[in-house]
Amino acid sequence: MPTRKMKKQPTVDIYWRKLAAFSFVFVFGFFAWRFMIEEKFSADQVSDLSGDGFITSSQVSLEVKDNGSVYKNGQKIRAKIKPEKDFDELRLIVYDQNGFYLDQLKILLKLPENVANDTKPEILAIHGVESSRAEAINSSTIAYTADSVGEQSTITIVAKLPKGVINLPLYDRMVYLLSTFSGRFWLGIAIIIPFITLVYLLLLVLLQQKTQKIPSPERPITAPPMALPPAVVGVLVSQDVSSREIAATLIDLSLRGYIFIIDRDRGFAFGKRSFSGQLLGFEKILLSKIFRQSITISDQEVSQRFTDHLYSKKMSIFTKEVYGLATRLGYFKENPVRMHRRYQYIGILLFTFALVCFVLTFKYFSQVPYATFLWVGMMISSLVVVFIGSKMPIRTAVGRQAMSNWLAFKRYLSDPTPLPYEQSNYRKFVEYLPYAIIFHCEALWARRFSGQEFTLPDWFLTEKESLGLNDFCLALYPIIGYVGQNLAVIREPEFR
Amino acid sequence: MFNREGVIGKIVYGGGFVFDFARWLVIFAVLLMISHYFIVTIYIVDGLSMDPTFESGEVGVLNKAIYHFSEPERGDVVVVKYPGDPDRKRYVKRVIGMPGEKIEVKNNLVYINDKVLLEGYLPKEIITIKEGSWQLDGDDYFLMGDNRLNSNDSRYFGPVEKRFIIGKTVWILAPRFFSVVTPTYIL
Repeated sequence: MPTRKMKKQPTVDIYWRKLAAFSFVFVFGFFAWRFMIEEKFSADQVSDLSGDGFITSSQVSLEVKDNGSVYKNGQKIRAKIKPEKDFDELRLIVYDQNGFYLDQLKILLKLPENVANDTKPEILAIHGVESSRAEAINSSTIAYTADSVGEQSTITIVAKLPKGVINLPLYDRMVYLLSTFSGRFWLGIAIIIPFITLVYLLLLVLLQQKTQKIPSPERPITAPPMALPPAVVGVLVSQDVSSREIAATLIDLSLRGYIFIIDRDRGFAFGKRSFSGQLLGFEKILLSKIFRQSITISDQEVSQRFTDHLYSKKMSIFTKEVYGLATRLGYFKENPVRMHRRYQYIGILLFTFALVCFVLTFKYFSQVPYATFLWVGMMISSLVVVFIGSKMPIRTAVGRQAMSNWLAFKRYLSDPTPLPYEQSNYRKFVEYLPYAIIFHCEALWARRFSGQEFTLPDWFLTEKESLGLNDFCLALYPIIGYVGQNLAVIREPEFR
Repeated sequence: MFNREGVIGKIVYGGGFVFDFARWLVIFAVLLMISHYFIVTIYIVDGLSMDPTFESGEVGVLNKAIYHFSEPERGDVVVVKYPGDPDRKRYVKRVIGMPGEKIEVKNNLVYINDKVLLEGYLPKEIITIKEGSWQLDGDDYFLMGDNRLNSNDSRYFGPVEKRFIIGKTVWILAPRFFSVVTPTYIL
């Protein structure tokens, strides 16, 4: 029968490069944006003093009230007194490249109390000012004078008032108080918040585990307690569908005669036999993800299937189906997907809130930039919520009893004692291997057969001769591990 | 092979990409903002006052974390908030005078505590103008541009308190590429 030429699917192939790809795009964009808006730091030059010979002078009257508000020629202006450690500071630009020449600019600053002599005045005059000075002219007034002020000049006056003269608003005092905390303090907060969240959630998980206690198996049982697909057993035990559930399903399908695995010198291949109606929905989906029309599929083609799309809808459905089946069997109070999603939503909401506050803190609380660490801590906490929240036990009494039975079987699989050489144990290794993979004890399970003769299962084809148990494991585990992990990672994020 | 419509359910294909991309985007945005504000960033030199050490348009790397662990040293090329307009203006200058020192500019030279400061990084023909004398307080630094004839610096706006210093320039990335080394002075 002629092989139908398959239509080549578009390859995106950025899984392992996802980090680098996203990083590059964002780093480039971010710095381009920063450059566009402000990151030009001036190696500032001097400006010439220039005038048209028309001699003028100007006087500005400023007054600071005891509540910190500032008035210019009787009109309230937006200037603010900022609290510092040893003084309260007024820093005000009074002349900023106004475009005309002044022979003299005089600023009189009236203070709310007779503290002019205790106030440190400064005048910063640049870009074409011949001379400048600042001095107290009486007990409550400071005079700032600049001579020959050029068109491009900028003049700023500074008054460092003694503490206690200005009664600053509560908000300003709060902001100042926060600004006095060091960066290390805020960094500590950023570490403590996720730590507290972690401890709280772990305690919650432990509490739930205590109230939903799994009956302790009295003794190991030597056979699976019921005929349950390994993937469903995995969900029952870990409340999660991981690469192990996928790998175990592949071996289970091999055992049941639906597929075979070909081990080659370089690489591997999967082959399919006839699929019957005995297959479960999620098993059909998994097979349809791996195979196309041809009977066999090589490792290159399998890898191609991983990268057909950025995310695999089929593998997402596989996961959803396994969870659904376990829930329909009455093992969970609610579908674990729903619980995972709930914690994901909580985490996303928390993260978004922290992110907004993070940006707002930079924009509106520039005096306390380290306070942003607080929000970074909250962002990390949100990730902790997503990760730990999904571990919250939600098994029903039926689920707990079933899990207890399966844990009894796990004890048998992971028992370090070698099995006696009997005819009945002959096929047990491959028969129970999917469950051993689910229980993370495939190495211990193989060790139980050390010293026994091993016959290669008919679903594992290899050119190598006299393959022992260890060789078989060394050949099989990397193949199914590779396929399982790659199929697990391409699921939509909510199913990972 | 299987009832596709039945099992697809509520899965919205493509949502994963948006979620994953947004997640990476946000994580990088946050990390870069933290780096930009607290650790290291880049900037463009705008103007001639550091000429010939830095030329206008060159891209510099600014270490913002360094002064949390150490004090500015004489010769460091720093970025400061201009004290006359700290919210908007940033200047690139070299630290010349340290806290407590007396700085004097006279006879086209700089004197620190009455001893002449020899500055090997300046072109031989350059002279330092704008004579004056400044006594620095315990938290003040005296900053000057290397282009002594054409630099708006502490000679004009006075010493700068440490709180206005943002960070130290450690590299020039482009178009030239070199490490900015703090010179050694003999006083």
